[in-house]
Amino acid sequence: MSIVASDIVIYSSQNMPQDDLTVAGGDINSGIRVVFDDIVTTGVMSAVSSSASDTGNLTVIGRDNVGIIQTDTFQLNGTTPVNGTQVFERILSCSTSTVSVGTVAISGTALVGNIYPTESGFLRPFYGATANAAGGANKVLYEKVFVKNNSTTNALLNATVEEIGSGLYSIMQFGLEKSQNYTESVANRLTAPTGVTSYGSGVSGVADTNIAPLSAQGTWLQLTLNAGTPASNSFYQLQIAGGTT
Amino acid sequence: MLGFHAISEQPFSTVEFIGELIVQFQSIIPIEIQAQVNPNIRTLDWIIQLNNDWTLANNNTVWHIKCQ
Repeated sequence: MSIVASDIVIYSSQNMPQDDLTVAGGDINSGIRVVFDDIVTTGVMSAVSSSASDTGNLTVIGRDNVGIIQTDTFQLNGTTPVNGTQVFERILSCSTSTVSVGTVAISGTALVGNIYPTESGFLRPFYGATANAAGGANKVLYEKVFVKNNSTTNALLNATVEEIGSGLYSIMQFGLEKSQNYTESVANRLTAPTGVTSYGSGVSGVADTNIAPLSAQGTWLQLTLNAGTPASNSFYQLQIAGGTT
Repeated sequence: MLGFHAISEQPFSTVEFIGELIVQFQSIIPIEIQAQVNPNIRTLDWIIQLNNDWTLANNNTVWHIKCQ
């Protein structure tokens, strides 16, 4: 069966720091994705699973309508939809207390994201990243994600990664690790990894040419925050391409 | 026999070819940036200077306070 969109997933690394002091990167975390659709209308979240076995807690972290980070934890009730109580303006992360059995759909007025079987959530990279005010120091932050091929039967052939010119593209770049399934971490997200030779935005072939079934290409995201960079709620967009039989 | 009918009981030979489909998948990664509003609050070094005409008996001491 050919590679389809659901086979190519961008996961977090084991260390996704919430400040500029703690470790970043490491191995892949195949339970946490970094791709979801943020809410478009301020409101509470709801969740429902495709499996009656999903009855653990769901924790939603986001900002309320005045910018304060809030946490809403509520219990899943299998295939019966349940609502949270906290009003969110944006979502930072969603996680279940145990790995999902079914697919847990988390929604506001529209679907925000799914937590898939054997996985436990999704999050936003660069949590809490803060630009200094004009006159302060510039920063360059690094956080690591993985482009994984979840197909068990097909490789993505001559795979490439490319930035799409939208969202934060003007202050972000990506760099591919020198080999797949590479596990480098850095002391903190202000420290550049050594396993990346260059950063850019154009089409870049992955290490080892193809992404084999269940293999993953480590990808460091580089965020440049010059002093005076305004606050924003935005996104970074990557395109993964290749051949499939 | 009227109408169309199979010209052979055997299926047509198939022509093998190597098919490789090029696929592209785009993923949106939400990211927010906070902006520090006032990080440059500096401590001020205050100097309290006694005026030259200060005397112990003088209740009209003038204090000159400046920061640098």
